[in-house]
Amino acid sequence: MFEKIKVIFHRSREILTEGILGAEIQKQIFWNKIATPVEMDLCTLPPNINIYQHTEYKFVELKLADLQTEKWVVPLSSRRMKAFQFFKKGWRNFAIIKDSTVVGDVWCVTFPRGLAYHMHPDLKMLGIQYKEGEAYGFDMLIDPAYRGKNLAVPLHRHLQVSLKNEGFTKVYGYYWNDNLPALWMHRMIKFHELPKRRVSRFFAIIYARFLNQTGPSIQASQKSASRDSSEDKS
Amino acid sequence: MSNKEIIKEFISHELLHDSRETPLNDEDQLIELGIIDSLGIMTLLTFVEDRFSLQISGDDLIPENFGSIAAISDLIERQLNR
Repeated sequence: MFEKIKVIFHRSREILTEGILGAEIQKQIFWNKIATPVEMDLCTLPPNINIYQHTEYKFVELKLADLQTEKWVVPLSSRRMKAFQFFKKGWRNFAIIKDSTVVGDVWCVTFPRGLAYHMHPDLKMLGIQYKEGEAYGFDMLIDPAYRGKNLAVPLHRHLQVSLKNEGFTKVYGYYWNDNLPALWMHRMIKFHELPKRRVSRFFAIIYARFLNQTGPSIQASQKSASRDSSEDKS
Repeated sequence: MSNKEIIKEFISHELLHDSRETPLNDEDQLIELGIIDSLGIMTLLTFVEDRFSLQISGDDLIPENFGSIAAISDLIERQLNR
């Protein structure tokens, strides 16, 4: 509980420093927002896929010990503290490293290891019931200084290839329909789109239901709003 | 100026971050080359919608429609003829 309060405190400080209070509130309170759950059959991954062409970056699975020993630096303090919390839940982190600094990372819950600790709350919102040998990837963040360098796709591929090599068969995820960069990234990776969900949220209270609609509708006015949240959520 | 030339000029000026020795071709694979990434698609989409006065729906936002200058031009043609 104390750790959670510390994360909230540090995140609040960062939000105020960065001047993104409005955007953060919009993430916590919204009405009838459309989410598209997605899935990727890992058997369909091309065998000769080359994600490691960015030779100046390292692709690693981050471990709790790496954070404790400060082997890699996580620049955002709230992100670092959240990592400690997530590791305790049994969740896993895949990251891109540049010069000993984590410049991007994505979390995932794997069954059955993740289930033994904490089921991720997104899964209920998305209506996903995953099985043994499947995983859920979430909360991807690319350091703003490294956005626009095509790191989101190789980071996701890194997660997928790593899980496939461990025998996992499927990865789930989602994107908000008004987040054009996230939509584009998921389509570039060729995720299969599942039935959409209409979601309303008031802080921890989340209400979601299926939406009978084909294809997302993106209004021009939403594009500039989603620019700020690019590459940060999958 | 043809649609392809308009798109090529925009991409060359706005989305190409490195100095290419050879100019873009109509069939160059823009996604594989890293020219249209998740931020690039926003810039390009805004330009296309404004320049050609059309609305690209979410269903058309697929890599096949933005994979090359020729593909983007075909998409614009289809949208304008609707």
